[in-house]
Amino acid sequence: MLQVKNLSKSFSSTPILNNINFSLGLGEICAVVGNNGSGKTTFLRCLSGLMNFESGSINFNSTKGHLFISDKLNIFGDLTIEENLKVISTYHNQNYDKRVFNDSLLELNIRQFKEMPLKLLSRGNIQRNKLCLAMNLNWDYLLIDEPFSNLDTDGIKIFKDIFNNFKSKNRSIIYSTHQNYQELNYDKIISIENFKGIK
Amino acid sequence: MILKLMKNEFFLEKKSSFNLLYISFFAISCLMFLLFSFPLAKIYDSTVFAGFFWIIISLSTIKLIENSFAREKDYNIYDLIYSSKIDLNMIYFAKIFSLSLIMLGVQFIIFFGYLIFSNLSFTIILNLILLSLVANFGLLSFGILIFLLTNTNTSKSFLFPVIFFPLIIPILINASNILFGIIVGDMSTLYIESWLILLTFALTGILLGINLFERLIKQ
Repeated sequence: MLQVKNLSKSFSSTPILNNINFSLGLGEICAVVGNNGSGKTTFLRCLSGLMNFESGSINFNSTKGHLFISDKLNIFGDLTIEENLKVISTYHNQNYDKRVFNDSLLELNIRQFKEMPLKLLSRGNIQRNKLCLAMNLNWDYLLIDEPFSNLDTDGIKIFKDIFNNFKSKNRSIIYSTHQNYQELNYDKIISIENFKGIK
Repeated sequence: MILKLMKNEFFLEKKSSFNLLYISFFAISCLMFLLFSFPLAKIYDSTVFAGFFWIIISLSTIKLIENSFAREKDYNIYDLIYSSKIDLNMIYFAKIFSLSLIMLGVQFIIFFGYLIFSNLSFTIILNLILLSLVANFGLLSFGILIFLLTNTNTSKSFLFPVIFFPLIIPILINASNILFGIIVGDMSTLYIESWLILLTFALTGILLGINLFERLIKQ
């Protein structure tokens, strides 16, 4: 179970996250919502361990750990998706299964781009490739920033199905969005208001 | 594990547009600049060559470090790599080892002509390789830390060399002294002391890296 206690973060003297407390069990999906600049990405970066925070504690009680996918490109543009997976899995000290990889390409409808360097793809297709990386790595908690941006309606449906698939395998997802979250799937919701913390 | 990470670095060097050839081309361009800026008789002077050689190597180090991190920054792969469970010191060492070997390749390319025409003995070549590796460790370990220190600043491309150069002057002076000693065969002038200073810099850089790399990545 993920437990966050009294998490506070500020930039200079401006508080961004204020005394945040929440917990998330395995197999749950959590949506982090808020306006632009409210601190959604900061929250996810603190959870991922990439950003230091002033006070509080974050505790992932899990065996496989977590994976953070930011809203930026997050890929090596000169490499194909398989080469990216090969490189990234080394950093995560894991091996990937070729069969699972091919299945994930089919599921995400990106098989036709398999041999292309990712820098040539559109933002929407890069987004699908990023989720392909997540599908092929081991983790208990997936922290993913703005997964639905740049996706068409077909892409959003595929992502929602894959998220449900993760959930059925007892894996948890924390995603941020500023979109109409009522249409998305979630078990818990965290609403971050500008400079105030969780509502 | 560290070998796998080094293999990654080499694979990325090969695949990305910033590779060994690019750095070598840069180093050779600097060498050409040296050829045109000195009278021909002066270039054969080993003191001038030894000094310029290390200035070229330090400039190439700056480019190499910038390129190595640029491909991670440009595509924002940073988050995906550095949020992993892997010990960040491993990444630091993998970077230093692989970049040192790439720099050794660049040094070999610059020295290639000299090696063909000068009939150097095996011992001298071995000494040159050892010197290059020790100096590269010092240059790269300090270079990576200063790059990360200046990385968040908007004028980082200016700040990085400005802070880096004064710090590595002892490495450049002592590496030039040793190189001169090896080529000419005169090992009387502070030869051992220069080796000790180079080793001190290499070890200090690595120790600082072990303590600071993670903090600088997560700033």
